[in-house]
Amino acid sequence: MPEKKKAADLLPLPMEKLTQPAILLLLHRKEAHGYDLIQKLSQSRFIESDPDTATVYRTLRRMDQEGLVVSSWRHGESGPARREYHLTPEGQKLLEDWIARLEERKQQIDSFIGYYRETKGD
Amino acid sequence: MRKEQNLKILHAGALRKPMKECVRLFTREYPQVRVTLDYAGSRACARALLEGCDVDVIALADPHVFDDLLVPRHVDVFFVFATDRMVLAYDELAKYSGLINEENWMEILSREDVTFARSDENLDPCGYRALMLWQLAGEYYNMPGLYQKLDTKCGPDRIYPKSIDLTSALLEGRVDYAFSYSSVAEQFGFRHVEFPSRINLSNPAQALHYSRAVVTLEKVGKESQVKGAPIEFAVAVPRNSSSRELARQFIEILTSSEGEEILEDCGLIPC
Repeated sequence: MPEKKKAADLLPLPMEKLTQPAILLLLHRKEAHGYDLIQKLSQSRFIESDPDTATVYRTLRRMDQEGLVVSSWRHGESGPARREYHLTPEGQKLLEDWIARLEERKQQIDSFIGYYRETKGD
Repeated sequence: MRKEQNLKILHAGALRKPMKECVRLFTREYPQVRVTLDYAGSRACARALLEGCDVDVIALADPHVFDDLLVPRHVDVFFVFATDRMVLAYDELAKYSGLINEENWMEILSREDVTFARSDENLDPCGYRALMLWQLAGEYYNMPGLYQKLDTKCGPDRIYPKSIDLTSALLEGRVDYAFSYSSVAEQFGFRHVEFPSRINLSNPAQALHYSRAVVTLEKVGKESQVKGAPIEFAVAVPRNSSSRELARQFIEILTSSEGEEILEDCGLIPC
């Protein structure tokens, strides 16, 4: 008998697509280096599983090339210096676009679930 | 007459290819500079510096080696520039090469006719990382005793000074498998078994979990312990460098977008 599919399997959303807005959101709150961002992404509930190290670093480099973030070397009192990323005005604008898109999507999802519950008589 | 300028670079063996490529970029911009490249296991590189070796750039396979042996007396700032992950490298001639995978590698390596290698934990971070991976694997696969079993089977004749030596051991058929970096396996075109991120020392999100693995190292006159951590490569200009400005320029190139492309082409993840 074929295995039943879960909704997550039926509606795949590439993780990389969600990585960028999640990074924008974390950098909106505070500048950070890649290592720190990977730990924060893992602790947050923005993406489902542990972020992939290569995906995060590649996304950061692409965002740097696209002018969404700028980077500089930062070293504390101890430990190594790391490349620290800051959000640019272009990055801030893109985050706002993402928030608008997500709000729109949230309304669609709420309508979808509301319609189901009405039909079901909840 | 223009005075000849020199730049001496000492680096971890695993960085052999990307360093050579970055030197090509550097000499394009600074053709008057004579660059000398030398390599060893990262801890052996650090010891060379401690013993007075004259170096302008030192690039190692673990920031911990800087902290443990070189900071603050010989190095003040060191820069993390790339990451990697542990894999089990092999070629098509390895015994059971058609069978081995992420789930059964422990069983394949335990077979009597199979040989495998690692590098020396006292000279090279890839060596202690292999031991850490074995510790974490014992827990991950619920196989108590796995570490001891692998450690006993991988005797002194299967322990090489640096990770890059594992490639010649594989190419010459001296061993079937080797615990290596993914970048090295990729550079030499080896097949490799990928390990789960819970044990392959690749992911900062697993840093706390990795730190449960501990290896004791010989340090001049005493022992030191190193805890598991995500794999990172770091570079610095030693305090005694006689070409500080050129060394700084080399690091600029290594961490530039062109340098990052080289790292990526060599299978490393620039960061």
